[in-house]
This record gives sequence, C-alpha cells and structure tokens, in this order.
Amino acid sequence: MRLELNAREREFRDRAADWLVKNVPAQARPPSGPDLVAFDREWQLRQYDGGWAGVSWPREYGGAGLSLTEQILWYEQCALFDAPEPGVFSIALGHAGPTLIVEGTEEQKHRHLGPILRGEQVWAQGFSEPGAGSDLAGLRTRAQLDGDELVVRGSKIWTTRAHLSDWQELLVRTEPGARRHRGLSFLIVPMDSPGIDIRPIVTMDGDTPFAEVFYDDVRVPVTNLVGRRGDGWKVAMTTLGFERGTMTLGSVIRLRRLIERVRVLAGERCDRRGRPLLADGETAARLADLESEAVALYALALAFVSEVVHTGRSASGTLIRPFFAELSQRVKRTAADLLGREGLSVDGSRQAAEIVPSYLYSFGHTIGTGTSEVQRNVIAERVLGLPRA
Amino acid sequence: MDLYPSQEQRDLASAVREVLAGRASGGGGAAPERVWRAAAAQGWFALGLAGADGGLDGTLADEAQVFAGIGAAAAEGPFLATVLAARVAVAAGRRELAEALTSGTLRAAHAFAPLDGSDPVQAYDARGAGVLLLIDEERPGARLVEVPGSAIVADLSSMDPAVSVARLRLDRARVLAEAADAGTVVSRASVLVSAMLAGVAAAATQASVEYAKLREQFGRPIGAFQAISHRCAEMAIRSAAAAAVVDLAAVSVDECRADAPRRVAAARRFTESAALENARVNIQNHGAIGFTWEHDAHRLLKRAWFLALSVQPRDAQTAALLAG
Ligand SMILES: Cc1cc2nc3c(=O)[nH]c(=O)nc-3n(C[C@H](O)[C@H](O)[C@H](O)COP(=O)(O)OP(=O)(O)OC[C@H]3O[C@@H](n4cnc5c(N)ncnc54)[C@H](O)[C@@H]3O)c2cc1C
Repeated sequence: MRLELNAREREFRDRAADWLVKNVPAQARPPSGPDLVAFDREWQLRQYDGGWAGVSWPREYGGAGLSLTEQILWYEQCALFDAPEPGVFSIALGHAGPTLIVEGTEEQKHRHLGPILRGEQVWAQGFSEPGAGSDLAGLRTRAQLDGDELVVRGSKIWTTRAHLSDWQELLVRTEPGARRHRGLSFLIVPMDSPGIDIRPIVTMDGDTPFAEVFYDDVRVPVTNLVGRRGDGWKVAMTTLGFERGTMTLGSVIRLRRLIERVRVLAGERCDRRGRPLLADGETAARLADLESEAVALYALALAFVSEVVHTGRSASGTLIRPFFAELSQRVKRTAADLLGREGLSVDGSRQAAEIVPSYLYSFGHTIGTGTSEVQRNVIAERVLGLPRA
Repeated sequence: MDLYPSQEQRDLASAVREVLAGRASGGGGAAPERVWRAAAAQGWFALGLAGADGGLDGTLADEAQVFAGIGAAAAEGPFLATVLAARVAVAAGRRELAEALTSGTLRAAHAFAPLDGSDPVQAYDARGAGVLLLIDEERPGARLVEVPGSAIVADLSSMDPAVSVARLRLDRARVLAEAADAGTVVSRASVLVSAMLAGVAAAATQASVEYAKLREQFGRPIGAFQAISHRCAEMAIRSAAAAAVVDLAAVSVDECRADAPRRVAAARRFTESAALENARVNIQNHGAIGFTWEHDAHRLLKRAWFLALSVQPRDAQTAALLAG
C-alpha cells in the first residue's frame, strides 16, 4: 500500500494539472437551455482534443486506454481545478459507452463510442416505467419483431434528459410468454424516431430534468439490439453496474470539494450576534462529522479502484453509491442550514440561488439509479449472501 | 391529569380538516378567499382571545388543534401571523384593529427584524396583508406596523410554495401597536409553530402509510418490505410524540406552570426534527413520484423547513431547554 504516486502516475497527474489550468472554461455553466448543451459539448470536445476524454476507455475507440487509477487521478485534478462535470453527457460517458464497450457489436462501437467522446451524442436511459421502478423486471413496454425491425409500443418514465437526447438505451420486452427477467432486450433507439412523444416532468426543485416518454409503434432496426434478443437483463445489469459503480467515482471525489466550500461558507457567515457560524460548536461538529465521512468514502473509493486494478473485480462498488448518495444529501442539507432565513428565497443571495436548488435536487440521489433501499438489498443478497426477503 | 382532547377539541380539529380538505397550497402564499372566510367564520383568529376582548375564550391547547390541521394541510395563508397580530392589538388596546384581524378582513404578514425599521426586511405573506407583525428576537419585542403596498420593494421567489416572500422598506411605516409582553407572544407563537410542525409530521406519516399499502413492486405492496414498514413505524412514533408534546406544552402554558418555557422549547425542538425527518423519508418512501412537483411530498418538506426557521430558533431552544 502506498499513497505516493509512482513516476508514471506523477507524470500523468502533472500533465493533467497542466492541461486543466489552461483549459478549464472561465465562465460558469449556464443553468439550463441550449446554452447549457452547447457549453457541455464545447467542454467535452476540448477534453477530447486534448486527449483527456475516456481516460480508461480502450484506445481503439478513441479513449486513452489507461487504468482506473489514472481515471481517479483525472477526477481529482478536475475537482481541484473546478472543471465542469460531464453534464448532459453523464449517461453517454458513464454507462451507455461503457456498456457498448462490453456488449456492443463492432458496428455499434464505431457508430457511438468516438462520437460520445467528442460530445456529439447525448444519451438517455429508458428503463423505468410507471409500474416498474425498483422492480425493473416487471416492465411492460414491448417490441415486436417485424421483418428486420422491432416495433416498440409502451411508455417509460423518469427518463433523464429525454428531451435533450439523441440516443437512448431502451429496455423492452421482446419475448411474449417469457416471464420477468427472461424475455427482455436492450435496444439502441434514436430519439428522433417517428412515434416518440416526450412530456417533461417538473421536479420538487422546479426544474424539468426528466420526462415521460411514449412509444407508438416506433420502428427500430434489429441491428440496434445490444446483446442477443432475450438477453436484455444481462446487458441492463452491466449498465447498472457502471451506473452504480465507476460512474459515481467522479462525484465522490467532488464531494470533498463541496464540503470544503461549505466550510468556507461557515467561516464567512455570521449568526445574529455577529459570530462566525464555524465558531458555534454544533456547526463545527457537524462539519467535522461530514468531513470524516467524506474521507472514509474517499478511502473506500480508492480501495475499490485499487482492488479492481489488482484483481480485475471488486464487490465494494455496490457499497459506494448508497454511502455517497446519503452523505451528499446531508452535506447539502448542512449548507442549506447555514443559509438560515436567507434560504427561504433563492433570490435571497447568490449562495441561496446555488445551495437551495442543489439541496432539493439531492433528494433524487437516493432514488435515481436505484433507491437506497434497493441498493441495500443488492449488498445484502449479492455481496453478503443473505437470504432474499 | 388528562391529555385526551375534549369533544370540542376533536370537533374543532375535524372542522379545520374539512375547511382545508383537498387544499394543498397552489403556490404564492395567498389563502383562497373561501378558506380564509370559513376560517374567520369558525373563529380561528379569535379563538385564543378572552371573551371580554371579543375573543372566544379558548385555550392555547385549542388553538394548537387548529394549527396542527393547518400544518398537516400545508395550507397557505398567514393564519399564525394574523392570530398573533390580533393578540398584540388587543393587548395594546387597539380594539378596531383586533376586530378587523379576528373577522378576517385584515391579514397580517410577519418578519423577523430589529424594531428600528432601518434596513429593508424580508417579510412573509406581505402581499395582500394590511399589517406586519415585526418580531425582534433579541430584545425580545413585537410590534404591529402598517404595510401600504408601496412598502414592498421587491417580490422574491419563495422556497416554500405555501408562503410569499417580499422585501419591505419600513422607514416610513406607521406603528400601530406595541406588544407590552413580547415574551408571551413569542412563547405562544412557538407552541403554535410546533403544532404546525407536528401537523406536517403527521401528514407525512399518513401519506407514507397510505402509499405503502397501495404501491406494489415485486408483486406485493411496498409496505411488506421492512425497509418501508419500519420506517413507517418510526414516522408514527415521531408524529404521535410530536402531537403529544405540543399538547403538553400548550397545557403547561395555559396552566401557567413554572416549567412551561422548557416544555415549549422541547416541543419546538422535537417537532422540528420530527417534521423534517418525516417529510424527508416520506419523499424517499414514494420513490420518484415523491420527487415531483405535482406530488405534495415536497410541500411538506418545504413547510417543515420554513417553520423550522420561524420563532424560537435553535440557540434559543437550547438556552430554554438547559435553563435550571
Ligand atoms: C432524479 C432521478 C433520475 C432518474 N433517471 C432515470 C433515468 O434516466 N432512466 C430511468 O429509467 N429511470 C430513471 N429514474 C427512475 C429510478 O430508477 C426509479 O425512480 C427507481 O428505480 C425507483 O422506482 P420508483 O420510483 O418506481 O419507486 P418504487 O419502486 O415504487 O419505490 C417506492 C419505495 O419502495 C421502496 N422499495 C421498493 N421495492 C423495495 C424492496 N424490495 N425492498 C425495500 N424497499 C423497496 C423503494 O426503495 C422506495 O422507497 C430516475 C429517478 C430519479 C429520482
């Protein structure tokens, strides 16, 4: 065990820092709309041109072909220099691309992986349905074979960024008669296909991050099947593995940065009597608790990555997501508390405008990508071998 | 010794529920005219005042029943500020002002600020209000000032859809009444805020329990999973204790008991945690639907957040709870 970087790692980190200093955009990320997509595209393309897109993706598909260690070092430098997050490309980079690397055909890889790294494809994930959330295998959207096409009928819900996406990972039922996990297929669907209708849903923070999507006889070529027909569950589990595992690493690293900013806020702001909030024992203890948890989470993430690098696999991936999701909600709650009554209006101050929506949005962290309860079930059953309820 | 609500108190609670039924906040903080008029007609604003002062001779415990219902419905409208303003007006001998408030013709906004009126203040439900209850938490002090429309310098967006937020200039505002005993006003306010918080906690429990019976995943109601059922049980413990501690505090004040301040602070502190925690897990229990604007779960959370920042904040609670 060592924390010191070896020569190769040091060289990578220095190069990353050097590039980030010169390339992190000076302007802030626009809050929404076409400007935001343009901003994310521009940033992704810039990373690609600099050789920093897809650090751990294979070289043959445009990645840098490095290990998860370099991936972590890259995230750390990004957090350090406050580089923008993947934004609208989070699904494409976080799990659509990685799924295709593992399960896609050569044709699919070439059609999507390079463009994803260049910021040319926004992806959405069409898994959940009104009746099938935690119980994903209960989904009912069907796709019927018609010649060399599959015809999709049904609806999905909570599809993040459906209205901004070019492509979608769509999980459908293709084998009539086959029950639950059997009989599903994983399809790549262009979002501009005729028959797709998208209705945005407003969330508790007043934003519209996701939508309900209706499929009225949408025709998709069978060459868009990822994995074989009927093997969709296995492919979907690969996707969820990335979503709940490596995709969270970047956010884990950023969380410590966020806590640092909350601490600065607590040092700057004063209570009614003019004392800095950080001078209050209760506030200080709360921030210290959060810091210790964040360091432990960071350690867990490093241990996970190291185990993967050594052995090719690690069970602790599933532990990281619920830990992160719940901790980040508490960090944001603490930040909101520091605002006091200023937080009662987002017009109250620049900090309120940032912290209040971000706290409200954090309620989605413990629900999206599988609820915290379902993640605990996964840990209990698959990692610990406890009997199923 | 008896903490069981009387028949009148139970009738009152169900009348309040009926008036507010199906009325989750539509946003903007203005109670619909129908609800406001019904509230005035039922005497919500006069309930706690003495008969000699044009009131209904009710107790603080009676008022608490009303405010628990208001909290549970996440209802909009400046109910609390109007009740408190009427009390301040009565104590200052401003009979017509009190009558305008208790009859529902005049609504009161509220704000927390020093009484000197030098800086602009952030006020709640100032739109549509004729008077402002200004609470100075440091001295403590409370006064009623006039708020002409021209006092509103800016309408701000509100975190909590059940209230409106505005910035006011009070440098030329006319003082209408000064509370002689601001401590009493603040302590009654604290009990009624606690009652609303207990209402929020109870509403969250009810929503979760109903949904846990209804929503099916994996072929059974989600309430069959212990992750959900245990959480519902914890919510029930918190909300039942929250309701009880509010009644305990209210009766302690009504009976002028020596330990009343500590019990008020206990109620305030406990109901705040109970409401915030129940509202939070209620969202989680609902999954993604609980994260949407359309669903009421977020309104309970935002109510709890708003009320938690109302009278008697944490440091004041701590001081009262630890006082000998
Ligand atoms: C911000 C956000 C973004 C999302 N983005 C996407 C997306 O892009 N694509 C997509 O397909 N989906 C997306 N989702 C949907 C998400 O995957 C589902 O919301 C989630 O799987 C839960 O399903 P549900 O909402 O139907 O809740 P339900 O499954 O109905 O759950 C309700 C409650 O019951 C609990 N529960 C259910 N089953 C069990 C059990 N067996 N044991 C214990 N407790 C249980 C849950 O934990 C929860 O508390 C998103 C959701 C959110 C909030």
